[in-house]
Amino acid sequence: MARQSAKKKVEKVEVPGGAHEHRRHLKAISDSEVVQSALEGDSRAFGELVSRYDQRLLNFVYRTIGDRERAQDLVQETFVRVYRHLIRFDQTKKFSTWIYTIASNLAKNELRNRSRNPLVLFQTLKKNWDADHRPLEWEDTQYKPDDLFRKRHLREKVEEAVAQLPEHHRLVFVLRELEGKSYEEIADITGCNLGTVKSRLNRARNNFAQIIAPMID
Amino acid sequence: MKCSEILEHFSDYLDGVASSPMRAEIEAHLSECGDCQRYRDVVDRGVAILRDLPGAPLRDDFRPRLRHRIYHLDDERILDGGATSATTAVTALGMAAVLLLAAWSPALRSAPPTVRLLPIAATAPRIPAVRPMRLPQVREGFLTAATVRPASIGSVRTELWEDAHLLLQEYSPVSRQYRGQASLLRTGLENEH
Repeated sequence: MARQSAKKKVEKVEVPGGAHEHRRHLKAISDSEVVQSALEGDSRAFGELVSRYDQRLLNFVYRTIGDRERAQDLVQETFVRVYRHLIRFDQTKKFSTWIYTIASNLAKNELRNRSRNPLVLFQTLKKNWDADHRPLEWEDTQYKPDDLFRKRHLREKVEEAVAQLPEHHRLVFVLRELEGKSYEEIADITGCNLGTVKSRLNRARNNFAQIIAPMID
Repeated sequence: MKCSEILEHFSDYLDGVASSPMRAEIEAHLSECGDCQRYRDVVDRGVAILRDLPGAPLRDDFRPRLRHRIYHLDDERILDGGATSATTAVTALGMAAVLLLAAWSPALRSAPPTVRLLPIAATAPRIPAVRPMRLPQVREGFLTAATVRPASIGSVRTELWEDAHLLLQEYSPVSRQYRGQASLLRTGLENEH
């Protein structure tokens, strides 16, 4: 009885104009307005936040931790945390920075836990060893793969190059190059100062260029 | 500008946050230095390939799963709300019990009072010296009164009666009351001898 009456409190707020019209309205407004609607009890508003960020966060977390399946779980967890703590969100700040901070912290925790797990550590070491000891195919002038194969191989190498970057460099690099975040936003998300962000980004770019240079004409 | 300086400020240049003079210097260097040009090309192409990579696809059950989790999160929140009122009541009761204990604690902590009694010191009564008994005159060759040492006779008699006062004390009502002290007293006297 008490449960039913309490459940009524979280039921969606009825908005005039029908569901379709309401969804269109939500798509047109800014993040902060959607957040405000969600806080006022509009359940469709939270769905709008999910549809705006699920794919972006998934790419970001996947590039950071390098595991598609685990990235899905971490993004789910990010949204659950957002839902749970939305009331505590400081609406003077950018919502995207807040949600990326949550996802980034979860990704960092995941990497930390993996480094403590000997099995995962062994797999990572093996992967790196394989990468280091694989014959240098591009130095073999006798064998020229076709363009399609070459392109695919180059993509794989670029992905590997990102995965090979040190964790704190990779995070900054992905936020800048793939998510297009500004230095200030990256500083907020990672909890570093601007100087550290610039220095890490510069080092990450240098490392990335060194890894992929032999594969780029 | 040296190549190492270009590497140091390359991110500022690439992201458009370098100052105008710095930007001009870097561009001038890039137009002359083949290695630095190559570096810029590698970064540009690498990043372009990276951005072109297909993203990780969302699983089909991603949103239904999320909806399910959030639905149950609401349930948890409601249950937590119900539990909160019960928790509050239990906490209030606990606080009351603690306050009651605190109020009664002086009474609980106080032990029965201890009184230290002064030890009763008593001296042994003086026993009058017993005169040596006069023995009848005996013939020569036998022991005479003079030959019997009065001290030894006296000592025999005193030994016989020396505990008499103690026996009296032992069975008197006063000694019963201070039985503990009496035993101590006896021990003390023995030590003196």
